[in-house]
Amino acid sequence: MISGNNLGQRLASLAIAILLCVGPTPGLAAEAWGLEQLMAMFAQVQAANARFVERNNLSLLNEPVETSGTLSYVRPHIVEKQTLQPQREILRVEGDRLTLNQADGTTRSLSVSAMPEIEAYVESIRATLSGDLARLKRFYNVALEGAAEGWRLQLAPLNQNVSETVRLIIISGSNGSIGQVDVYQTDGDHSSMTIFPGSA
Amino acid sequence: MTWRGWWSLAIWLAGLLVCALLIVRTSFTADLSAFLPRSPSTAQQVLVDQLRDGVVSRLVLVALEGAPADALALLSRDTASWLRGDPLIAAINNGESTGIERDRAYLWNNRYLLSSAVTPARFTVQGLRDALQNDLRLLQSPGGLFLKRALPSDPTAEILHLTDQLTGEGTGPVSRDGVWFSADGTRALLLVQTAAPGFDLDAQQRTLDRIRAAFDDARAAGNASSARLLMTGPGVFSVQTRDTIEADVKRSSVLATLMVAGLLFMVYRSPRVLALSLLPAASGTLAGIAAVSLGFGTVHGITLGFGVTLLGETVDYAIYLFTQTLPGTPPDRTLPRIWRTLLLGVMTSVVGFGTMLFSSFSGLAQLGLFSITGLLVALCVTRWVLPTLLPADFATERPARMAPVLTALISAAPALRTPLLAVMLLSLGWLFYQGDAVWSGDLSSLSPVAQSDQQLDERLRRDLGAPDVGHLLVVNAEDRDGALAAAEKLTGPLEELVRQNALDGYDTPALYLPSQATQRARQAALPDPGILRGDLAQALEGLPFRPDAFEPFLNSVAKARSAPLLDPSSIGGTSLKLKLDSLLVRSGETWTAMLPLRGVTNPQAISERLSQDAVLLDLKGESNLLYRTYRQEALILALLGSVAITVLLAVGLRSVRSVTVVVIPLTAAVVITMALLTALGQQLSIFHLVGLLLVVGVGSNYSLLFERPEPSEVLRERTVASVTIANLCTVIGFGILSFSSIPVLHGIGMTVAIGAFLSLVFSAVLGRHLLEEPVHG
Repeated sequence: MISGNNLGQRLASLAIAILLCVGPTPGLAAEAWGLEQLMAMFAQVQAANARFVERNNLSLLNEPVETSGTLSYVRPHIVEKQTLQPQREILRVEGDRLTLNQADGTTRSLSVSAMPEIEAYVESIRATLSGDLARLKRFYNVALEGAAEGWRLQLAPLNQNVSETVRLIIISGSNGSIGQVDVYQTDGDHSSMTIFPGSA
Repeated sequence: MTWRGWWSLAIWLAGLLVCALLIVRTSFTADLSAFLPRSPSTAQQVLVDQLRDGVVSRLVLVALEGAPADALALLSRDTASWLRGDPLIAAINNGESTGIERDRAYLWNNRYLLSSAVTPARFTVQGLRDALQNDLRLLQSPGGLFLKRALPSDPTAEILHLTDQLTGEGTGPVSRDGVWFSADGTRALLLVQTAAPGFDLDAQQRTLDRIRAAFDDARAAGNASSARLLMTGPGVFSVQTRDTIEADVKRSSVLATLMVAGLLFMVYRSPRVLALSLLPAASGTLAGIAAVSLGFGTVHGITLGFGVTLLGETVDYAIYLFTQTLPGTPPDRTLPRIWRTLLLGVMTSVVGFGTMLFSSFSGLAQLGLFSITGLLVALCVTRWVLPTLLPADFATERPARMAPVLTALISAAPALRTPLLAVMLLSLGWLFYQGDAVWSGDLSSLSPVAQSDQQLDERLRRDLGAPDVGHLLVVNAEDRDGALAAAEKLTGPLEELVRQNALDGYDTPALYLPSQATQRARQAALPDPGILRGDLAQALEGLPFRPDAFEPFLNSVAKARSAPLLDPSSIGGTSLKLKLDSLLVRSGETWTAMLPLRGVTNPQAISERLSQDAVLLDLKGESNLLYRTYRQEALILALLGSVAITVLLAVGLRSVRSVTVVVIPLTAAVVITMALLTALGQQLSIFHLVGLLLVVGVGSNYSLLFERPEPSEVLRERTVASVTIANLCTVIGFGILSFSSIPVLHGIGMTVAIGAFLSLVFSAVLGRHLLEEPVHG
């Protein structure tokens, strides 16, 4: 189909939202902080809920677009993003199937694996949530900087098709919680999602 | 040798020569559709045409398995790249975006000609404003990802409309590393469309070989020596079936010939006589092929395979001649003695097979002509040529030695009358109880494809997300554009029916290539660039879009207004072309557009609503109906044949009693054979009917010979011996055929082997003559 810029940023935000729900993880601060430790922590998530506020800067529009809603995850393969403002829409990924319910009642459904761009986004979430670093590295060049108290996870797409739309995803947080996800698109558009733990 | 003997020989040799010349010029086909009926209705014609050379018949489903997923994905790419551009391959798809890029380009570049949403109202200020507001909502939603990049060129979202229509409910197979895989990830999948039509088996064979070679090359280049290649599809099955039938018939005939020859050698102890005994059958085969070639233009491979087995009966003629020849009597005196009986026996077979001549299956009609010609020629050769070629002092001693034992056995046989009656009643009861379940109502029962292959095919189809089409709407027109226009006329009513939940959705060729008139109408709906610019500016007022955001849209519309209309060449090189070719076909002088329907819940409503404009075809139902019609026809023909045989016997024997004595064992054999076969779990098909006809043909010889009053005990012993040997040969020949993996051959083989044996036993049990003059000692 067409492009996947926004999906990337949204799914990435979703991943972060879920990560936030993990809450503080004890006993890690003293150890050497690294990707393995971060992933091991994520792997323990069974199910989670969160709220989000997202701000999009789009070159097509004169002004930024702001949306908000809820996020949820059920291990091993269901992720759902419900946008509540400015209009109600549901994006749900279950297994290989992505379903989008729009405000006007139309429903679209597609096979994630048939579209490498979308697969990259979806897998980045699943791989992260399951703490599967190896899988995450199949789609992204992964770099972690900072310390446990303040870290930044940088995901740079490996696939050419993906990098035509998404340049970089930056997830930042402190200790076991994530505060923000920034998606920098290749065409200059940029979105930033802030996540609050707990259900709406 | 007598002067008359020389003449017979000369005529025979000349006949063989003529046949040989005819056969050299004969073309043999292996087109399985000869065993599909000649179709009565348009709808059924479409069905049979599709099976013959439709795109459906050109599909090869390919699966690669037996290696890790990464290796399989690589193998899939390599195999596909070896095959792309090969003249034998019309298209190959393995999920790679190689073809999808072109599909996308076709849809994107021609969106204003293709989209059914293009109407004048869409490009007014109000229409544009509605579209832009919708765009804004989409940008704010997760769905914005679908539109963002396309939006500046396509604010009215034509591409989205098109993709929605094209995607339908079809979800396609899952992918891994960009190529198609089965859901469980163990098989990489490819879909090949052959350039050759499905019925051109030689070309299909070459194509399959090419695919195998490409796979082997790819496997050698990669590092996946454990990987295996699986292929299914109509072409694969046809080629396989041809090979299997050829191999089976060859193996069966070699085995049967060896065993029959062994048996005959034991009896006659003379290689020369052995060779001579096969002469009538060989001559009959040649004449049969020549006759079919003259009558039908081509000879079907299966006719040949089955026909030769049907002519097995002719070996019996020579056996009667040899075995009945008494020491000291010239062989040319033997035949006049049994001639009437033999002639009557042959005539019953001829009448039996003659009914097949009237069959609507050209394959069965060929078989009929083949066997009738073969039988008559074999009889003539036995009558006039064989005695001339036999040694002057020929006589067989062996049967004389084993005859008393057989005679004793047979004289004791009438004791079995009561049990036979019981078995007969039991069988009748069983058949009556089974009712229609005895008959297979499925066209697939004619399918020579082994069960395991059918299962593999189903599995791959499921993996590829290509379920079999159930319902099809068919419209005809004089030319391509007419057919497209006719298909477009159905869109409105179909949409309405979808809303009424009569069906889930449909596919139409007009989606890929609209009719010229529709394309012109859509072009006319696009406004002049100057007007559009003004209207767009007005529509954008108060919306947060940047004012210059939609420059690409203005350019696209201006270009589309003067773009050349699409024709079939425009879609070339895309995978959509495949789709179009399968939905829009030329059949003779007319063009046919086909609209496959999805999720049909109310066929009644659909056919009522559209009966004026189109034919609704329920493929599975239609083909089974077709098959049942033909089975009905075959059954009626078989019954008529039985009546004709009875009449023939009545005329020949001129005695009600004799006719009864001949017919009853035959009837018993047929009934009990049917009961046995169904009790063994077989469902009877048309080919079992053919087998039963053969049982009647062969069995009538036995009961006729048994029924015939013999002047002396020695002669009767010889009769019993000759019939027994003939029967053994038949049972051996067809018994071997029953081991064939082809259901049809297996069915005929079993039917005839069981039926022929039972005919002999029942003739002995029920024979009047043997009962009246029992042999003691």
